[in-house]
Amino acid sequence: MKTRYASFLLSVAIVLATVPVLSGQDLVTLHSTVQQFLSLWYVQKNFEKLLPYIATDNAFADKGIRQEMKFTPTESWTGIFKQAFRNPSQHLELKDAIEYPAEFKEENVKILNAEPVQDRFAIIDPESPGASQYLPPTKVSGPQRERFDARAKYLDHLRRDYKGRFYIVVYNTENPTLLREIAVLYWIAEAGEWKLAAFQGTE
Amino acid sequence: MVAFSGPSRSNRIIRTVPIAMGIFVMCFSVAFGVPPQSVDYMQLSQRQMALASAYFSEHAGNWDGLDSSEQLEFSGATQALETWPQFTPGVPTGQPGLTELVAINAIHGAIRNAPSQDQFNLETEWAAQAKKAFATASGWGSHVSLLHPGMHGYQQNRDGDPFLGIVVLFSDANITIGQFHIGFRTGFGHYFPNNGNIATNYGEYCDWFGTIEGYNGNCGGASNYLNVQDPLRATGAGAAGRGPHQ
Repeated sequence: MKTRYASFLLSVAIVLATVPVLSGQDLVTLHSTVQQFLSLWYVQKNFEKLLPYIATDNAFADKGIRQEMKFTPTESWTGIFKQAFRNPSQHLELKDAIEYPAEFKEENVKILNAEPVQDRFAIIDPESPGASQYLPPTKVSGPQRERFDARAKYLDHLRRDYKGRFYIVVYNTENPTLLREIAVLYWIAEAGEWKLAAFQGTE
Repeated sequence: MVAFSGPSRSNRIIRTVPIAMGIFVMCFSVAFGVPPQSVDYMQLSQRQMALASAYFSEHAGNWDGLDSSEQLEFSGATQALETWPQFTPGVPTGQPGLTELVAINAIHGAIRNAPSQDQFNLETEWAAQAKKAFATASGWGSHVSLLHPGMHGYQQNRDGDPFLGIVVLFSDANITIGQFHIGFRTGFGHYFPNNGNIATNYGEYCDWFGTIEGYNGNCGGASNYLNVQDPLRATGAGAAGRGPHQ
């Protein structure tokens, strides 16, 4: 009995270990979805058309975070899209709006798209050690995890519950008509489609 | 019978004018930023005073020559570096602190029209072991530093949040040179100058690092940062302060 159970566990472990983190086709789909999304946002500035890209399980729909917000999830997302522009009337091409600089060397970060500089954004594997700069710490005790704030808990949930279906997109806004920041976008796969779960601007 | 006639016109004016002026001042403060109150030098700790004294010897100035946002950045940031372990539950003893700081090389408070990342930070000379000490500090992790070219560093991850708390940066070329600042605002939004402003986030500051003795801020006035639409983002000003080249 014990042998059969051990054999079952071993086979489960083998299956889990061989599940591709991101298949070639998944990567192509995520890559093109992100490109479309960024073009709608920064070039076309069509904020209504961005809303279908938002995941059902998105940060502003999270119960813990919603308790602290006075805006609805839709208002919060629309606010993020609009606030990115210092001068919304200025037309931009995507290549002039954002960048992933060649000199930006993120230590221990696994970048999944082959040409991040050319793409102007990087798709980052959240399991790579350097991705910890965008996520709550993992080496924490149970009580420490309990003390996570609502945002940290939500990001921890993405990392744990969307394994293999959760990736981080990073770029820098470079145009003076935009708010200057590093944009960190958290994407998850929901019902076979890539959706935006959270956005964070940082320095 | 006396008919109710309400306040006279002059009474109405007397009552209305101060209210209108109050509303105007409040709107003006929100729209253009108000410098924080100054910090009493005599309330700094001995270590803070030594750092300040060395800074003024090097830069030929004095405490009163700093604007109030620079005074607050100096006192608040250095205090944070010293007190963060006391205000972080479950942190073991022996964490890095103010002893990692050899000297302050520049003090940046609110700088009108300057990019967010150039405001509210202290440029520093670090001790040789500082980088290693912060790399292994309890709960801390590496920090993305795209807007600080040529630098790398570590972040406190306050409350597990990778965008909150102290950030220490080190020059790629020389790890004894760098800067540090405090990130206050997350909530899944954009990066604004006030993200690093102690005055506008003093409620959080008190929770995370304690009150600043020489500063008369209101710890109870925690900012509702998740719902703030930063009105100053277009100008890049977090609060009234120096111009970009001062």
